Amino acid sequence: MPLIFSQEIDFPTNRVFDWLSFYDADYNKYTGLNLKDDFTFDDKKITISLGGIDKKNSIKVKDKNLNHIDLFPVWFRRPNKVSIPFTGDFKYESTYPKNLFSYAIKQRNTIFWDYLGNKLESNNHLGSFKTISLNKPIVLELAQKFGLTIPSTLITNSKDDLNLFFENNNHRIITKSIEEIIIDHKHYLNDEEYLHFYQITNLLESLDNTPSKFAPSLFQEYIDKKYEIRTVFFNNEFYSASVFTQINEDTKIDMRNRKANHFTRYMPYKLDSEIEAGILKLMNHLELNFGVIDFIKSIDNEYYFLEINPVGQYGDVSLYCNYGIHKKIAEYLIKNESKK
Amino acid sequence: MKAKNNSTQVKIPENEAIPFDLYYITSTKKKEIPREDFKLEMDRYYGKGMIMDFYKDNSNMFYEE
Repeated sequence: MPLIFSQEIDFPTNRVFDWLSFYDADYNKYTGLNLKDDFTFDDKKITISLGGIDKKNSIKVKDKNLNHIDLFPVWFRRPNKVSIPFTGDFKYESTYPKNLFSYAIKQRNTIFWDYLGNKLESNNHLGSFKTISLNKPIVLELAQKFGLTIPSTLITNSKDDLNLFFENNNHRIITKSIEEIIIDHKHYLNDEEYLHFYQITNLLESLDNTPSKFAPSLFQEYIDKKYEIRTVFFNNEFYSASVFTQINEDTKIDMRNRKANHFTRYMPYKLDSEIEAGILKLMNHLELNFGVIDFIKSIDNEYYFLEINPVGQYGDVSLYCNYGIHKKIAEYLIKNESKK
Repeated sequence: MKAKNNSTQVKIPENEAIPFDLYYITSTKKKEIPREDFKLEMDRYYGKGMIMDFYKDNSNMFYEE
């Protein structure tokens, strides 16, 4: 029975569930937030036994032995980094600050979730529990090491260095998050209207009216694109799509900035074999067997590697290019179960 | 060539601790989709491979038959 770690709402996860149901395969989904899960606890009795002379290890939840989880294939689609195991409140009276005490509790209570996630990584698995986000500068440097071209990149907190970079790149640079983009937020103005806060990549054509003081931040040269390429790496196969973002003014800088009913055109694409070889080395180095990788094909016909998202959305590539990745993931999980 | 997203800049204080990209958080005013309509669309598109766009403010999915 495949174990699937994902968010409460993730459409690609549901499409894989559809295919698992089609094949009459059972599965369990874990979000880390549902207290009824085997792998979260509230009032459940949980016991992990390790070591001793007989080296007999066991995991029991509510006296149910979970040792057999070793047998299950696992899909770390979008695993939560922490679970929320307890809902109960308690009266706290101490001079030791409550926020520090709460922090200590939270750290301790996520150990079980972390233990299980790491343990399950030794099963047949797709995706990663440990690596759900990557350090962009490290990945860019590694990509370069493995033969991929990356855009000219600057990480600085110096306005002078930023000015110089801006001058050297024809007064067109982009600023994007060095980590993940901010979490979307809805601020309700009334029952019907809200302000949606979000973040996209921005083009800077002037540094006037920009902050003079800032923390170390990522800047890249702006590359005139022919099109973008989104590649889904799964089970050592590449499923690539050329994404014609330059047709629509809104999507030129960031393909996510698309209005509803203004679809971006996708076409199946085959990356050059040297690029695929570089990506394969990079993914092996990062110990990832799944990832969504973004490239730019410049007007000079150069491929520029941008980033890897280990939990990226792949539904668009699958649907528009008819790759059937949801079906293939379901089949992968079923096949790996029958191997045991 | 700047992205047109009908958004306004969010006011972030200038500080050495705040990365540059966070000065470009944007906000857009949107209308909430009634819960019943949302569920209706979820049911209609469920299983068709991909659900997208019906939550965006300019989507016409709610008004077509």
